[in-house]
Formats: sequence, C-alpha cells, structure tokens
Amino acid sequence: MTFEEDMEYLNSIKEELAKEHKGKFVLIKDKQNRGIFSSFEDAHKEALRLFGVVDVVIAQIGLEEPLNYIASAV
Amino acid sequence: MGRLTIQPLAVRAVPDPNNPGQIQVQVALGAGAQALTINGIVLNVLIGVDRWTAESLRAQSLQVPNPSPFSAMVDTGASGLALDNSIIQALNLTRRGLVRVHTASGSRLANLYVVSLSFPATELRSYDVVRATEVDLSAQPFKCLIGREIMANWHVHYNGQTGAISISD
Repeated sequence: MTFEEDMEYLNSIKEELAKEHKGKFVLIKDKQNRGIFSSFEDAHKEALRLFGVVDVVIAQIGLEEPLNYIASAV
Repeated sequence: MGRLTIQPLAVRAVPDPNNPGQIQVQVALGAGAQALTINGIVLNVLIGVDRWTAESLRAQSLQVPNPSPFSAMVDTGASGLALDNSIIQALNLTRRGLVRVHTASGSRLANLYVVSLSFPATELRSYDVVRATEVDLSAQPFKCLIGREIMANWHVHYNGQTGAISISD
C-alpha cells in the first residue's frame, strides 16, 4: 500500500468518521483505520510504536482544513 | 525564558585620506538597517528528527540523524513551520499526511512532517515535536520559515531604523 492510497482511503471514510469523531485525529496505514486520537502527537507516537519510522496518514476529522498560508513560498 | 538580540554592526573599508594607498575601516552607519530591510529576520536554527522518532530509531538500533544547522526566516505571513525539501531529504523524514497550503502562486497540497527545532547559542525555547510543511525554498538563501505557530510563544521587537532585533519567550 502506498501513502497516496492511504490518502484516498482517508477521503473515502472521512465523512463517516466525522459523525462520531469530529475534531479528533485518525491514523491510517495500509488502507486501515488504526485508531482515533485526541491529539496529533498521540497519533504520531502510536504510528511509531506500530509501524516504526515509515510514512503514515494522520488527519484531523471533520473540521474545515486549517488555513496554512505561506506568503514567502511560491 | 530566553532572549535573542541581534545588533548588527557593519563596517566598510575606505581610502585613508591621511595615508595614500592605505585603507581605513569605518563603522557603516545605517548598514544594519539596510541589511534587515533586504534580508528580514534570519536566524540560525537546528532542525532534527522529533524526539519520538529519535526514540523509535534508537529502539531499532538505527542511526539517528544529527540535527543540522540551517538559516531560517521569521515569516509573519506563514502560519506554521515550513521546510525546504533539502532539509527533508537530509533528515530522511517520513510523511505524516497532507495539508492544503496557500502560497503566492495558488493553493496546493503539501506533505506534512514532524521535526525538532532549536535555536543554537540562544536561550530561546526548543521544540522537541513540531509539525512542519514542505515548501520549495530552493531559490531562497534560507531553507526554513518560522511561522506564527512558533511566534505565538515569542515577543519580537523589530527596529527597522537601527536594524536591531530582539526575540524573547
């Protein structure tokens, strides 16, 4: 499974997750939901415990995407 | 509480009017202010893998990359920490998701990472675990942007007339 496939999987389940876990963080690896966490840091720690140092997807559930504005970059 | 003060002192070499063929070194008044106007607030930072990634690597008997020094620009126009791809490659960082970023050239998705950040030779607080977004700074003299997420902990004094900067937290 690739990181991109995990992002696709996130997009396919995020509406369902938002019904019960709005504001929390989901950890996805190999197209599976590996847990719901109260903070990004907790999800990051669990990802390291389960899989070691590899790409994973951690995303906040059900909130508008935060505005990440980077004026100096093109 | 830490504090960092940058008081620029620029000098210039000019012909010595009393000794033909010799030069004289003078303080270049206003040069510090000019440098600040041109460069902005640029700091030396150390960026490494975050604390938990370092622990995970050690537990697997893998080498933990040493934090590396980079130039970073303090950017009130950036919401969070942003890193050039060269830093991500140097530290062999792994992705933690995608975030949408808005730049001068439009909106796009960018990889999200986690790193550690510190300010060598200062007493400013270090960050063991901080999220960072990937940006293209290849054409810039600095390779890192320190955005408002870090600045939220700072008191910054910017004296554009003298070029002096102080940051405390």
